[in-house]
Amino acid sequence: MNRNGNELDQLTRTLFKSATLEPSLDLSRKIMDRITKEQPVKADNQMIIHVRSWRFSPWLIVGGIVYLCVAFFFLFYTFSGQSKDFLPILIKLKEVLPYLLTVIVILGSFPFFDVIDKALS
Amino acid sequence: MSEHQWIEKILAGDTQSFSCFVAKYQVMAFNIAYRVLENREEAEEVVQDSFVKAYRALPGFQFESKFSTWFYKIVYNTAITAQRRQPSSVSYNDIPLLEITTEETDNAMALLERKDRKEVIQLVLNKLPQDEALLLTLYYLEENSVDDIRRITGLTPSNVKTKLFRGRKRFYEALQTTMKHEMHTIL
Repeated sequence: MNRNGNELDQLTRTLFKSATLEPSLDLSRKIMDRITKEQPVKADNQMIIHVRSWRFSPWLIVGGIVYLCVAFFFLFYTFSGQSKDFLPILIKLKEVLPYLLTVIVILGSFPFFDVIDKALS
Repeated sequence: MSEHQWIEKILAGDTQSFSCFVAKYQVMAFNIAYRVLENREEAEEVVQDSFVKAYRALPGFQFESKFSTWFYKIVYNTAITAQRRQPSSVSYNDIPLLEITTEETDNAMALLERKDRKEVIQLVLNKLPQDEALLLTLYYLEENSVDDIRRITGLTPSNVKTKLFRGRKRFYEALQTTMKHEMHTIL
């Protein structure tokens, strides 16, 4: 009488499971030694990785750009004399700007922006 | 933590996370390499090389298949490359296949209980053609599907099925022959 395929499958599986070959005990250490000597690998989409690992700098850059834009706006209207109406607002803004920048820098140093970063990503 | 998350950690620069993959896959990788090369030292060398290759290629892994399938393919290809440097082996394709009966497998199993099972099975597997022994290992030890084995080895599904069928028959023939020889030696 021939044994059917499923029975033979089960029997073979049991035999193979009990006969697994084990490599040397120090194989994993040897592998990891070689891996640590390798250059760290990066994902193909490098931008995503950079934003995630370099968490504070993008916000500081954004803060810097905002600061420069406002400063340029302030300088342009102050010295061109094209719009006297804006002048009082700009003077007020000039007083506020250093504090605003300080707040951006301080908040940028805390994980607060990281929360926003994660929410946006 | 899923394998996807481990890979993301490695790609973010956490090299030590790779040790999880090493711990999980080194035994099967070693068994695949050993089936191809039939030499422990060379198989371990191949396993090391395969893990380094997988680490370097990790950014290109697109999750289109299981990580294990992708990795075993690297192991298989590395082992095949290493094997080409070895002298050629004997072809078993002309050896006729016999029908295996329940009594025969039961006898072989009973005899197997008296010997160190692991030692005997390895002895028997070493007598099989390398490709059949490898396919049996992939199918029965790691429980890879025919489709996974197709991806790893590059064979067609029907070829995988045929080789598995032939390999299993030959395995029991060789097991019985080995056990008869062992019993004869003991007596």
